[in-house]
Amino acid sequence: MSARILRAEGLAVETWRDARRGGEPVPLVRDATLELRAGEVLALVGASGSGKSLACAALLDVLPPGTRRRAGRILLDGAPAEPASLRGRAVACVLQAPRTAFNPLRTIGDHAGETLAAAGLRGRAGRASMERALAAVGLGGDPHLPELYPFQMSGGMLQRAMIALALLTRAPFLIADEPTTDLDLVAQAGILDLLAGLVRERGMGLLIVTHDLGVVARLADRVAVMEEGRVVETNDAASLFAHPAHPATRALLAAHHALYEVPR
Amino acid sequence: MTALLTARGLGKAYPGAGWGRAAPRTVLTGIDLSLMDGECVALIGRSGSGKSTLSRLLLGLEAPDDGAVLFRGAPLAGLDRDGRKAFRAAVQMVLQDPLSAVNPRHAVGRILAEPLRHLTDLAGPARAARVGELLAMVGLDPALAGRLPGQLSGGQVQRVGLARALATRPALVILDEAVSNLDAPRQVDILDRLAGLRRRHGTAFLLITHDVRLARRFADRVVVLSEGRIVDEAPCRPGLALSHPAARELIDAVLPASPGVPG
Repeated sequence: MSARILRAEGLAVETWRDARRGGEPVPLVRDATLELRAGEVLALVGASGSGKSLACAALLDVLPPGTRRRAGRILLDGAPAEPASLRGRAVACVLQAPRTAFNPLRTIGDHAGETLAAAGLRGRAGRASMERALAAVGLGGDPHLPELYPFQMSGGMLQRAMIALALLTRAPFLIADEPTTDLDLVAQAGILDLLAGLVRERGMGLLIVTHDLGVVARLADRVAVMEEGRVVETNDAASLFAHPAHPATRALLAAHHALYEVPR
Repeated sequence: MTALLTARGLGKAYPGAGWGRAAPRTVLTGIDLSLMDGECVALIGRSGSGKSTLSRLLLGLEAPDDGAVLFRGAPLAGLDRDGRKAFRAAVQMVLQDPLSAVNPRHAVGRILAEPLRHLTDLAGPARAARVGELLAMVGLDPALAGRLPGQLSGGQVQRVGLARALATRPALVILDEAVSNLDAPRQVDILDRLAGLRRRHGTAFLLITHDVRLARRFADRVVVLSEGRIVDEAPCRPGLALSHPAARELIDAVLPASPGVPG
């Protein structure tokens, strides 16, 4: 039975200033709690630099050098879990810039082989599983696709391939950090439709990090808003758009709605 | 009235890639486009539709295979040294990735003074004053002139790029996806500043984007590029009426403003 609830409680991340003098800590994420449920899309929004990506990195224990997790724990269905043991098993990841996330010297098939080996699937079963995953993300039409190198594919195709790799892990939760920021809007719409379908059909829990409230409006069931490292508001998407409570949420919504206005 | 910048029958192809003699890939075909003084035009299209190639041709950074670009009626290819200098001062550009568009070892003040040194007759002290003025114009603290790009946020560096483009008081600024990667508050802030500049100085803008929302909010007229050709064109007001399938595809991809409301 796969897990139903992934909860990050009281996450705190800090960096430090001037290591020579003992390193005065600078908090980057403060006491952030996020709860992701299977079959649901949670959007994490906030202005650039509000700590969205760092909170996710802390959840996965992949913090960049120069930062460290100071507090917080991860619970899987209520039981404490080590982040490192969740990665690729309970939680899969889709990153922002697909072009830099792939090894340029390896084909898509090689990438899939690596993920399959980690999941313990080899040979014919592995190939069948790869074909199913590629078909699920809309890349099933071309039998030669696994032979392609990343530079032979468009950004949208690469992002689909990355989602296919995430599906290969059969993890019940998916974290997508700005998955469509580098794509044009038409490719973006395709990827968002794909993610919505995966949540609906497979009951995955999706945590999507974005600065675009249009993405939230399209996809999210619940929204958590971050400002200066804190989660300042969490609500279901419709209520948040209708009645934003926190000033940070109101500022984001005001700018978002301004984008749709035509002056004069 | 002579147009500020005109593309007449532009065509461009790049040699085929790979070891074999692959056929050249045609990127632009028969592009006709005129930009008037003070006009604000949005060029929209999907990735790979030829938007950035067109902007490079308009800036004279590359030469077209067919057709010509005319600056105030004179073909770019025929400009003499002074003509080229005047063209470069009059037509400036802001790129998408701000950090790769500035020298990371130069302080902001030096980055902004560079076009002033090459393209204007301003003396040293006047240049320094203009640098402060430019920073204030894009909403940055003039004290930032001493900082390096790496010490600023992405949004601040993008505004430095914008200030540099405005340094020579250009007649036209080409913005190649210059606001696409910013978050909504910063996009709105920069677009509003540009609209202010346009009102005060009559600067013309060519906004290159795949986001119909930005085009609709900022431009007078939208031109749609698809597979290297201009396929549709319409004024933004009163309502943007585009009918070509490539344009509809871009409009339909606009995300909803609120949950449950179609975009």
